[in-house]
Amino acid sequence: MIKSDRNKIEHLIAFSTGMMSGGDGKELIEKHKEALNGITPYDMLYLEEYQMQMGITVPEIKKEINKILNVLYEYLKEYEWERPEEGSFLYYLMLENRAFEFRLNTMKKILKAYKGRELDELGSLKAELLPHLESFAGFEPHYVKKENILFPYLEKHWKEYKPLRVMWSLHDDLRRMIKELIGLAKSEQSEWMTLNRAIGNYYFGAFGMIQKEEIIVYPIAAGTIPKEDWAEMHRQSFDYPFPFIDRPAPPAEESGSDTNIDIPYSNRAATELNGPVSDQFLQRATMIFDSLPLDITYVDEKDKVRYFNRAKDRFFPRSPAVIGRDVRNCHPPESLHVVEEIVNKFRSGERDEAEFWITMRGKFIHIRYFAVRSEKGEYKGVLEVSQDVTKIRELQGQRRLLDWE
Amino acid sequence: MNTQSSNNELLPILLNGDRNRGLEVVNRLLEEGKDVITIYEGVIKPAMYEVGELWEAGKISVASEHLASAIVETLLGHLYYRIIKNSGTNKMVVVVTSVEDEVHQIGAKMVSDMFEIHGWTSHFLGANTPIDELLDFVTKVNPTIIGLSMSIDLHTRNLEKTILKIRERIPEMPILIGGQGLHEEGKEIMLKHNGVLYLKDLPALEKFLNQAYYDKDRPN
Repeated sequence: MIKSDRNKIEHLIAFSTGMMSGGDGKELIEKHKEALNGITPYDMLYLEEYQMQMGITVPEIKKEINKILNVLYEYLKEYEWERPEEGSFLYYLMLENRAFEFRLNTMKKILKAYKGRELDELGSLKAELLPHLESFAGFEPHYVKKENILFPYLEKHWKEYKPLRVMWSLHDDLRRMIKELIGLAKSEQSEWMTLNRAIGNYYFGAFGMIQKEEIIVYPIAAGTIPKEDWAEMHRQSFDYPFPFIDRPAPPAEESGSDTNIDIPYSNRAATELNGPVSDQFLQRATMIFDSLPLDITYVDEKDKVRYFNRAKDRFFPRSPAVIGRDVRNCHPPESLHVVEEIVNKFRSGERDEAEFWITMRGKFIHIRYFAVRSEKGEYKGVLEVSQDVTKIRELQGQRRLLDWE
Repeated sequence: MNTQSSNNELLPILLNGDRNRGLEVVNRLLEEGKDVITIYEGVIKPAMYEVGELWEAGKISVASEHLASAIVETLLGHLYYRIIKNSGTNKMVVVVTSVEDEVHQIGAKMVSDMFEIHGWTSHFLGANTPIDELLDFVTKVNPTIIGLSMSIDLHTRNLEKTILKIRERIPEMPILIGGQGLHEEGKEIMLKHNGVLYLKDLPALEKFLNQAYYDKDRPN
């Protein structure tokens, strides 16, 4: 249960509104000093939830959030919370943060070593920075684990979960920034000023993310998510890499707990398919879908994720934690309107298909959405089918004989 | 012969104080094509860990432990000519030392050598470096990274004191920690301090160096 003091929240709102409208940080702190003393991560969550209810948009919140948090950091860091035990999901997320900080600091050291010579030795500086920047892109699984495992559990336990959208959007900013930064370091044409600005933005964005995780999200998560859920989250995290740290030993397997299909056991014999469904049938169906060279995700008519397959080399990772999650929470805020448009038009019967194609890590990915309807034409949800068509697009002529070479 | 069987072979050699046979083992491994990192991690380190455990359990004397250490230092010196050719081929600089009051330095020396193999300039300060002296030296040479080694867990407080003092003087300094004494607490200390990385062994260090500091021109 998340509790907060109303008076404190009102002061916090006044303080942040003042900051957002360009007020003087020191004056505002002085004015609200008493209320700011003893603010908790929960207060921050309420603040953001309130801002969103007031119609303040994610981009507007993002714009000032670092400034506000920098001022409030001194107060929030005093909040005492039970640190995660070794071997827990949160423990490894925090350990990854430490290892990332170490790497970010090494980049700063390199920049300092070049101080005053950046323009003259720009080529050499870029060459030295590049492997570091490329390694930073390897921190991606940390964010994916949050989005696919931590966030779904938080949504279950937090009534005020909407601020997580701000965090997801900030992940996307970091993804974009590091991509651009690597491009700038690789380019012979990029100028020092541009590179320096991009490095600064990424550095503060990455450190800011660690700060938000560890002074707001993790303390609340540690205080609200029950112990048994943490064990499950830890287990699910082994579907992903552990960036910058040694991969820990996985926990002992528990049979039957890892499910990517949401048909409660008691209802398996009475699904809406024609006739009873045996476990054996379900097992075979699961094997068949997992063997397809396609990423498949099914969202039901109530917009809840109900199934995803475990295709080999899935390019859009999914974790069992997303089963039952509202599809609106499975996407960053920037693409939410697209998801809603597809679902709404499928539901109304106006459309039956939608498709996109993107390039990702050198692969050409074809993403299709199909409306699922019953025999009577009732809307039963959306099927997302994504396929790596890189090789298919390159096919030419014919192959009519078996050739396994 | 594989490196594992050499572990067993090296231990009695060290305990018997047979320097020449130790050199023979190392030379044979080199002839078999083993690289320095493999010899460090697969042969010398496990043998020395065992020596340390025997000493802690009171099964060998301080004199025997010192003799074993002295022989290992000779072996490291013997291997060093293979390392030095790479040293300083990139611009990175590391300062490696054992923490204050820590009298063991072989682990730190192997770490220092690893950096040199990867082209770094390494300033190896040895054992028991007083914190203030370390800070003065670090301020002078301004390294890319500081590596702190701790062989005995009694020195955890000194390690943390060193980390805090470095942070005070150079807030963004990346600090690597490692050593036999950190097996239980390395990750805990890493979690407590900003920008500190615990690496549990030499392969972990090598992986780290290859990931973030790869040197395309480095000879294999």
